[in-house]
Amino acid sequence: MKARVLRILTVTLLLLLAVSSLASARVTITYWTHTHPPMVDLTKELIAEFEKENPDIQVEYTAIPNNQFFTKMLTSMSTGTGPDVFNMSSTRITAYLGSDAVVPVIPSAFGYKNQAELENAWVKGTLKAASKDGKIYGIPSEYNVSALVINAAHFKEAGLNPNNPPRTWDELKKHAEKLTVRKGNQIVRRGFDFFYLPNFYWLDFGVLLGQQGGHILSANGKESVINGEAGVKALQTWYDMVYKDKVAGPQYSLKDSTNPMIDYVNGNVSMFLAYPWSIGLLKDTPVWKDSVIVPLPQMDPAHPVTHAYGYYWMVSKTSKHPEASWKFVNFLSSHPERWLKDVSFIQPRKGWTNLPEAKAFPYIEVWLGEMGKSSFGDMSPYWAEISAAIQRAVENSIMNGVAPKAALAQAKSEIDAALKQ
Amino acid sequence: MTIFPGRRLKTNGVRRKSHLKRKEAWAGFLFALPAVLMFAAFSGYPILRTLYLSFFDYNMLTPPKFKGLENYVSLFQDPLFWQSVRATAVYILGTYVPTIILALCLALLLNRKFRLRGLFRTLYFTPVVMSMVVVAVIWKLLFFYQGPLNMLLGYFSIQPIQWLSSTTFAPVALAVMTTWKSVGYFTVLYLAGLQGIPTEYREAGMIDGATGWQLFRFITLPLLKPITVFVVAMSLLFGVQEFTAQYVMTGGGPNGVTRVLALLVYETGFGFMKMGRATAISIILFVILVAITMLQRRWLTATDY
Repeated sequence: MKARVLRILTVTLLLLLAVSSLASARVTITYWTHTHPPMVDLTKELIAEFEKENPDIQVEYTAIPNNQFFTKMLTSMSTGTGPDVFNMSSTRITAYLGSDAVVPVIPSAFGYKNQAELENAWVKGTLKAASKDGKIYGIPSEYNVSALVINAAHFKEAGLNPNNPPRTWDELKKHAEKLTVRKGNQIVRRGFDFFYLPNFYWLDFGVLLGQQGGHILSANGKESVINGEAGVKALQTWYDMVYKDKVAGPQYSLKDSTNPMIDYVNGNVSMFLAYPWSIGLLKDTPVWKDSVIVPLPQMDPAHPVTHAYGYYWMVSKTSKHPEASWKFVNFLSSHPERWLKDVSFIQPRKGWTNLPEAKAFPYIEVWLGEMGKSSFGDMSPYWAEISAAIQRAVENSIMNGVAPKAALAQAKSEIDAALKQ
Repeated sequence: MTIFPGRRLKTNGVRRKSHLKRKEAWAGFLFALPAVLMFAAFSGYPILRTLYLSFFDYNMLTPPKFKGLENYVSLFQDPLFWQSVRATAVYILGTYVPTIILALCLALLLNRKFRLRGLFRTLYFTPVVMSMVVVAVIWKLLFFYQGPLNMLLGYFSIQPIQWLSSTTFAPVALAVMTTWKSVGYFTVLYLAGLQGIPTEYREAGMIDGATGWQLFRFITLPLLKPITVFVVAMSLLFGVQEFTAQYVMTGGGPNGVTRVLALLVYETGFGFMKMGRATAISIILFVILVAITMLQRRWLTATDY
């Protein structure tokens, strides 16, 4: 009797041990992103497929509201409760790289022997934003450049040919003048306008500045040169549209951060600067049938300049499962066709342009042309402060009527102070 | 010992009394202990931790580095900090001076007997219970350049105003919105104060031939002094701590004119990843709040009522 009980106990114990070891073999990784509905939907689909292919890895996914994402990331990383994998904007990456908060990519998780092989699998220059000291820390989930969207119906109505869009900013102003509709001294329809939203001020000003050959920071990154001749000319272009040509105006903008294109969709703007992801939000609107995407206007078409920004998948230093995390990133980045078709995200893994989905992507030739001219603008661990100073300078000039030179002088002193702190 | 039996008896009584007092004090202490511990854990420790961090360079991702008083020194030299101090002062004065005056007027009105008085009292109080985020979003739409408010001004041939894009009008827009939101709260306080004033005082004044204004100026207003002191102190505290209205309606812009101190703390800490500097601003804010509270106590003790 005693021996029987002992046998049963031993078998039960062994079974328990086997079950617990199986359970411990299954790892759970957490993944956080900001909220962009098409992206969230595809992410959930891909996670289900990944878990099916990798039953030993479970992914817990959280989409965080856009305005809370950076705060939540920062607070969680500081307490060691951050996610294993996260999707981070290229403008914020420098701060994370500088703080040693992320780990380098593990090439074997992507099926490559070494980093050089991995680097060679992506379009040249697209990994630069997530690199430090020769190491790669992130894989692009979306790579963005800007182009000009025009409303062909407005063009025809104003006697303009949509097949002959503006190629320079001077031409754009002339077109915008014809496209602008006024009622008394009020503008009913703006010929062109920028987005007056925090995340877009530096993008729009940065493009104008880059095309003037200017920079925000000096070559050594220790002081700001934003108020140089190029900076003043760049802001003057914007200023003139509002005060001299009167084809644009922040007061008319709905400033909707969830749908920045709302003014264009409502027919209140005829031209605006768009990004590949804009297609995902535009193509289901009635205005899409009249929309044409053309190359970004240039200051000097002989020397075209455009800026790129993106989001990168990264793995936290606190992750207990970096191998599994990078394996998951590899899976996510192995479906550029679905990201393009379902979310309108360009993922610059070599060969993506040969995909049928890429060939069918609206105005692919324009986007490819812009990508060819693109580079990341100035980057700094203090980007958030720099971007806030640019916003204040643009607001001071464009909304308050302060001369661009004075507004940029203020921005320079604010950026210099931020760099010194 | 037998010479002063009375004194001995008295001494025993005092001892018994002090023993009782000690027991009472202990009981009181034990009753208060949970609250004291809660305060120490959830208020005392965070305050001390904030003070500690204000002497460090801390980006929340790497260990803090000691900087001494550098955060404070650089703050006092930073024009953006002073711009925020100015924005906070403008917001408090622009919002709560009209709010208090309006609340007093409404309370005087609602203290009279008239039909539907209960309905009006409820209506004035409704914005108080609404979420600030909801209120700010509604007013953002009302203040839109081509929105209803400018349309209304248009009927009176007034040119549309750039409520939220102009450095002049953005603080005004915020003040109007907060006044609308908070006037009901202060009206209720004044109403309670008015109902606590014995009617005999006014009747005596009327018998002496005082006019309506004189009754208000020399009887009602002085008797409302404790309420006014409280209302002013609360206004200052609310005003210094306000964050949501600016965050939702203007994001602190244009050009930082509505970036109040609480918003600056958030922006510096979570936006710029300079938590040491943000905690230094919080400490300065804390000192301001303590000073206001002390002032309130002084006013209250100085009052005759």
